[in-house]
Amino acid sequence: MSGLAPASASSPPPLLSVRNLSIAVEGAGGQTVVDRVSFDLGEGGVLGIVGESGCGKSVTAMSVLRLNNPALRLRGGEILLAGEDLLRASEARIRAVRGGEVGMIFQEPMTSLNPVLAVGDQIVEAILAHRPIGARAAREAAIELLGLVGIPLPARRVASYPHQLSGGMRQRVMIAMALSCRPRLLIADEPTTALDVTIQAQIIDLLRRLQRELGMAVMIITHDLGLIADFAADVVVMYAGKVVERGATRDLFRQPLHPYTERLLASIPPLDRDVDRLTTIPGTVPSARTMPSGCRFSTRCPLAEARCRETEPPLRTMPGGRAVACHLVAEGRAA
Amino acid sequence: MVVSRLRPILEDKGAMAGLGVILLFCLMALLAPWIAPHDPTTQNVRDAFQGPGARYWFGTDEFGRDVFSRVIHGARPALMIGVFSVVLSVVLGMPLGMLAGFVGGRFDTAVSAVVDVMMSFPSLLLALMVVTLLGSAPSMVVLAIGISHVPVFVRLARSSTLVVRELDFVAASRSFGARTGHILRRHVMPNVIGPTIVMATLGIAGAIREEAGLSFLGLGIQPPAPSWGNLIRDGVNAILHAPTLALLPGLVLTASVLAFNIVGDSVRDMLDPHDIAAAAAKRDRAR
Amino acid sequence: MSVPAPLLEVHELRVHFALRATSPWQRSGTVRAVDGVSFTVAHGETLGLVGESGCGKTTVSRAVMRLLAPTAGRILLEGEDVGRLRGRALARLRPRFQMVFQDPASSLNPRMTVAELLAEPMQIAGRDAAQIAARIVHLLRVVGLDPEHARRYPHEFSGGQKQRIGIARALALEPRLLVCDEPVSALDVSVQAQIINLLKDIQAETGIGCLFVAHDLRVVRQISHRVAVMYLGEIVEQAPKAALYGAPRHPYTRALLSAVPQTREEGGGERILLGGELPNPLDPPSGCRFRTRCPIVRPECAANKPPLREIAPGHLVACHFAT
Repeated sequence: MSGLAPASASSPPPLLSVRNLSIAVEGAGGQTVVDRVSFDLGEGGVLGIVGESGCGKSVTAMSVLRLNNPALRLRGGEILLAGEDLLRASEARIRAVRGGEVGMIFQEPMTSLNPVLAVGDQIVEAILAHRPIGARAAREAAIELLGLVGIPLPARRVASYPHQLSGGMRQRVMIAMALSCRPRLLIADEPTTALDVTIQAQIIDLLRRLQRELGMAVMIITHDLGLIADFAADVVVMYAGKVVERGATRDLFRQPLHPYTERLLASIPPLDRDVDRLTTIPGTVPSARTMPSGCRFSTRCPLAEARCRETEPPLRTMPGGRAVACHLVAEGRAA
Repeated sequence: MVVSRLRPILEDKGAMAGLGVILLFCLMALLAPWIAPHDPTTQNVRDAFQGPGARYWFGTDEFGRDVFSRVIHGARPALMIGVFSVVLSVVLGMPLGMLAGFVGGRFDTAVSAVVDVMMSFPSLLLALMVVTLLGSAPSMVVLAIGISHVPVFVRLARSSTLVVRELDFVAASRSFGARTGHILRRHVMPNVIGPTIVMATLGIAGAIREEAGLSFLGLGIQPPAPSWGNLIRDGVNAILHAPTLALLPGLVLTASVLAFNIVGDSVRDMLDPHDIAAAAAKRDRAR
Repeated sequence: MSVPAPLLEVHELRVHFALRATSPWQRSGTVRAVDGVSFTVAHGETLGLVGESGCGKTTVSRAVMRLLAPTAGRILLEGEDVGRLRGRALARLRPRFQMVFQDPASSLNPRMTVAELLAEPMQIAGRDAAQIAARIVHLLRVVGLDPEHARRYPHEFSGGQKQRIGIARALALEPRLLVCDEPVSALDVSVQAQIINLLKDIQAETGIGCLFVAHDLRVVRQISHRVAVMYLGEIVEQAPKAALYGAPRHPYTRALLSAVPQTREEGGGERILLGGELPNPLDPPSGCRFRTRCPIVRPECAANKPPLREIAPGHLVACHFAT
């Protein structure tokens, strides 16, 4: 376990610590898309951030490298990378972090790669931006990286253009680029959503191998709960911009505490048996206009009481390191 | 709903100014006989080549005709030909382009080939050929300019149709058993009409310019009837000793073309959802 | 007593696309997107058609819907060959088979209100206005929407609600066959479950037959009675779902199932990681098309194409070594 609860004074600081991050749409009365989100990721750990579309998981991930749409404004909080606040770092410093200490891969590798440059040249460019080595050495390093991410015949593939590669191969190239400076943290934002299931399995297998071999921490953002169960040691569940539950993946999947997590897990169609009716979550995620003042899930929660609609439950840490934001769970009355 | 869609244009000062100028020219054309201080064709040789002044605001030409009155009356052929020729191009070009884009195959290849050939010709030259063949009655000038602009609208409608054709709501309509005509009317045309309106507004500016060009060359509106083109031509003949004769009608022509262009751009911002952000930014800057 | 004709019978369907090179370094040739596919769908039954992108499953659905013309083979709907019909004769049969599309954002014309969207198929079929108005109210209730919603535009709805509108429209003509092309893949998991339950309810109520095309093996299991797995334009395995998920016989089906990320409680068996990627459809492998990625490949796989043979009642497999 990489330790999800905020670090105490005695333990070493975590690699990445997101504390009370709040982000809102620009302008007075702009919708809050991320609301006081906190979590830690230890050196070499794997953390999953999971939630449905619009829950704020991608915005949270993009904030680490300050890559969010300029219409989104930071409202508060800090993001500490080994103790250094990235949200307040200089532009030059954040550029050094991007592709240096922190690598990132995205959902659609085709739009993240320049179509008119050979993939090798793009990796060389990424290497030269951060490492003081010559062009020839950078090219050798690029070929080595392509081999590392499992691209056959890397010495030949280095001259290929993005459109000549399949989706899976392009994602491998993106991973090679992200790894070019041996980052301590890799952020993977829906890395396999655009890929077929057999290719997805290959990519996750690759990420797992790289994480182990290079001792690199991975933060994976996905809507796919199966992927989280399969890959992440710890998980943060988000709903409508807030963390509703976080903990060790194994415990959380075995015994989800928050009613949202529980229902979300139950609505996954099982692969190993037939069910007559799938569990659903009635209604839809509230919009900015219909956002309730209390618990944000209260509009869809089967257990909601009057109090849930009035006061917002804080994220409470339970024994064993699990944290849950639910009035009823706190009193031991739910799940 | 309508007001909210119109808001960008209402708050765009440039577009409002352009609309004002267009309105002014429309009134001028409509009310020309009543507001013109003199008869545009009455010759008064004793007053030839008067400079601009209190009696003749824009001065007089070689026959002593009042240039200001001639400019006011010249708005009539300019606007009429501008509007009617573009209506003709749209009526011919849009359905043809939609059909070519939707049906594809040999029909599309044939239409596109003709359009390409026509586009490779300067449109003024094309209009010149038509007028030379058919004569220069105002209706023939409309025909000439209208036909020369058809390819623009064919291309525009065709390219929009190629995009819409691939959308699933077209496939859905086909799966209900809809015929091509129904799909074109119901699903394709509403998506083609927006860009076409933009192009048409810009096209009016082009047509006014071309009418002036044809008249300048003596192939448009025939003297003594005034048109901005033949006013400028007559003025150019005397440009050395009475420069205002060409200059003032030229400025009026420029103002009208500019007005249609500005309004056309603004309509594009209004109709193109991708540019809504750009339009909002433009509005903010204007404040 | 003769067996009644199935609702849909697809026999040796082929859809080939001629690919013309647009530049000198491109290859031209024929893509055999669907190459000899046969299956049936009975009244009241759902056949799941699964496979990865490029396997031809969407092409099959579009051919069945006659949104594209089959190159060869027969598509029999209640015995009538819709694969060969054109024009008015085809339009007359259209009400019997309707489609739910993948992306409701693209399949619903954004300029039409819900009422106009639902009315369109009925207007084309020549229903009268009073009948149409009544049916719109009924359809909205069936898919769990408020009849008040009829005046709104698609962009005012969430993704799940849009797909409900898409389903209502597909049901407008009371079809006997519903072709669903990835109807839930654009939706979040909790909404996905709502739509699957809705489709099952509709089937239970109307006895509609369904061809359900999807890549998500979890979704397909929960909605289908039988499942066919496609690879590179061919069906490699077809079976009742219990057999297909419980005892898959084709190595591709096994790999596909093992690649689905498992939640902890499912545990999951051993993982079969397939190497490589889908071969170029312009130049498919000789013999068995799966042999280039098959974990149990043997030399004879390159020489002989395995036929789709029945190894148990209703269980068909195209592999030399399946027993």
